[in-house]
Amino acid sequence: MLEEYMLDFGYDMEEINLVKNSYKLAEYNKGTLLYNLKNLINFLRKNGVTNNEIIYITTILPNIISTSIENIKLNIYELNNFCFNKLYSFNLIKKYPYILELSIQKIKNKFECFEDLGFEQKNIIAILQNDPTLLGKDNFLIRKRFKFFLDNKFDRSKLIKVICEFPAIIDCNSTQINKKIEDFSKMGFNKKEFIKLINLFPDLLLTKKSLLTEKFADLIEYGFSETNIINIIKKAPYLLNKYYLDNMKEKLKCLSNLGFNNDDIISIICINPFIALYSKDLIINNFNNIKSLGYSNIEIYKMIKNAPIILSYDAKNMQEKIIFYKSINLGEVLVFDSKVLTYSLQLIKKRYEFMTKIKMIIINIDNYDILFLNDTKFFEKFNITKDEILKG
Amino acid sequence: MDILIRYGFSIEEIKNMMDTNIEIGNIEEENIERLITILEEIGCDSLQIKNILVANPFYLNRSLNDADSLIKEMLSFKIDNLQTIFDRNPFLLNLNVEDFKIIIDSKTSEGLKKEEIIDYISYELV
Repeated sequence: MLEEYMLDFGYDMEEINLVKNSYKLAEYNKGTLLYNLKNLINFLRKNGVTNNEIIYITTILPNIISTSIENIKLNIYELNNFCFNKLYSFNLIKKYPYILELSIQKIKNKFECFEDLGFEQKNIIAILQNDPTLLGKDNFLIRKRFKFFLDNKFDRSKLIKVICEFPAIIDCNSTQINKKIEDFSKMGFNKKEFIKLINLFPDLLLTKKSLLTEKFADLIEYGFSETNIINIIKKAPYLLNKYYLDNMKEKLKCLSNLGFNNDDIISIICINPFIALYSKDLIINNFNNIKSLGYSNIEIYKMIKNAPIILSYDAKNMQEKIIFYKSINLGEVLVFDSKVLTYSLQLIKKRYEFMTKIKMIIINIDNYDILFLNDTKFFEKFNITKDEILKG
Repeated sequence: MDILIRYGFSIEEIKNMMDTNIEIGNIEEENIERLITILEEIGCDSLQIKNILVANPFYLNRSLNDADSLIKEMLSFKIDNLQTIFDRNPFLLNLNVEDFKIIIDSKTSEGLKKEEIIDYISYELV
């Protein structure tokens, strides 16, 4: 009868034997077991546990069949002390049936362990809901792993945030982490760069596949070399976020639609990878903004290829610069020497004023480069510091 | 995003910043305000602040402590008028003090003098 009932319910023979032969249940006769099992199923179903989940719970924890329903209810009631309501408690049981065997003191100790490390109660509840297996982890081990991250220059508040999002990080032991550091080192990231990346994307510690093949297949297919990609990640690690990676093809297509060829796009993104993070609208707006100021597409390609950062600047900032340079008859310069657009207009306006009004120098296309000397050379030539110029 | 509107950002600019940095919605307004104040304190005017944040909205993800430490480190290296430097290269604001020190060490080992390193950071570093 017991086997037939269990087969009808959905257990397979292996699971039935596992349940029947468990140490404690072997002492019970089949009739009692059947009676208890039916009661348990009835109780769990009433609380939203599915048949498959019941099979999972009872094979993981066969002793639950011999536990009285009143005792189970009491355990669930006690979980309320830790702010787990009935729904959360059943979710915990589904994910980690062993919770029913943990004493209240043990759960309390776990909360205290996390509180000592700096977690707030709401964080602890979130972590345990996310990964209740942590309830069974040794507190000493949790503290040791946490300390390992702190010793490796992780910021405590960031680490707490990271563990809340990815509790499995606590499962990473020092050997696994050192192996990751070694893998990243082979790719060209030193330890500090690795830690910076992990602070931003802790899930990199958990992924088993290669960073490049898993996340950057689209870029490699497009023609970016591995070295290109590593340098891009170093400059703009945010690119590792799935959101940007998923939109990567669209961004490349947007640049292509504006008329840039593949080689140009690779070169532009390598110099200014933030372009790959901007929305399509922003890229198009910034391109059209330059166009509206009187430059042809071909001139704009040249300007952006020469100084890709100008595609990042705020439209108004670019407008002011272009209008100013046109007003002093240097509009033509911007096409073949667009790097002048990267200089702070505040500084260049002051230098222009200084040269034309104090030094009586007429600035034109033949000598405009004196406006853009670095501070040392400007001082050598005109004996005035940047600070004096700006205050001037 | 009331704080950005108060600083004169248009809805379109804010939308672009949020499309670029998908975390902005989760950052507390008080933090944003304090990060902008840091820029004001080094002399950035409203146009420079707008340019920096539109180009590099990831600056808003920085902790106040990290941003403050970077600026103190740059000033202690005698890099002044930071407003013109960040206006030119807003991405410098994403550096940690450690990153900054690595740049200094690397340029020093190349044989550059302090003034030349300052020029490199001010006008060449991309």
